[in-house]
Amino acid sequence: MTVFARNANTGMLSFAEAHKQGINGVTGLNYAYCVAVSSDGLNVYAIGTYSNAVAVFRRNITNGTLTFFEVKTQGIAGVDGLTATKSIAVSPSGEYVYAAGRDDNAVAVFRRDQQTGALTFVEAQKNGIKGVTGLQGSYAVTVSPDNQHIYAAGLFDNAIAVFEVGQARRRAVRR
Amino acid sequence: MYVAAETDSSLAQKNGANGVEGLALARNVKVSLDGRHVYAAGFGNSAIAVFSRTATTGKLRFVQMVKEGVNGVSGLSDVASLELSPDGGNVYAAAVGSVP
Repeated sequence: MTVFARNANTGMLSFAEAHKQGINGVTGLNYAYCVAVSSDGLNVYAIGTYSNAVAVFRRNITNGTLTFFEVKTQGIAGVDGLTATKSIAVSPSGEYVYAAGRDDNAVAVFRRDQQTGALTFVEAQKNGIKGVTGLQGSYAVTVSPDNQHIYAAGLFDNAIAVFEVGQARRRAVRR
Repeated sequence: MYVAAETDSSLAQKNGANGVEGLALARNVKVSLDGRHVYAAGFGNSAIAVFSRTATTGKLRFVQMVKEGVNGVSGLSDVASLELSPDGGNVYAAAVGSVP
């Protein structure tokens, strides 16, 4: 996880810092594949595909530098759906964080503490369970601007799975 | 990076052309919220390519490349993904090859 300061006028980047797996207590970043920033600017979330994990950072809103906060790992404290995770998204409202777990054919759902950024595992939506289809090889996840729907790309299903927030159920699959 | 309007494919930015660097195996691209800049992750260069953007035309102009191992940059090896902060003050990059 690498941090750059951005000059808003020129767009140019200046290296600020790097957080690496195994250094200064940072974990969850083995094969760091995707990064997301919460809309309130208070947190940065990154997934490590080989860590099967989400690393949570708190963000200094003055200079953007990060402090490692916690990690959520597949199989620990009931966390599921993160095996070979490939994508992460924060809902625009900042209430939820979603991660695509490729080898679980799943989308993992976390509730986000909007004060600290800490994550609490809620559920894993998995292909073939409770009517969910289209998630084979779950590879990318995104949230609609109104926070109402989650879209996940199923690499091996050649599909997009569509979830309705709150209903926690699959509505449709588009192929 | 390839930028094309429906009737105009002349907006493309290609690695190695017109001084553009850092786009080898481009894996991810993001536009700043102010619309003024575009950032691309060049996995094959372990680099981020920075472009300024003309809003009216969408045209890009290469500004800068930041690259693993150059000018103290670390943590960009095999960069896969990037994101801007909502306030526009930072760019964050996830790099799969960044090991201690």
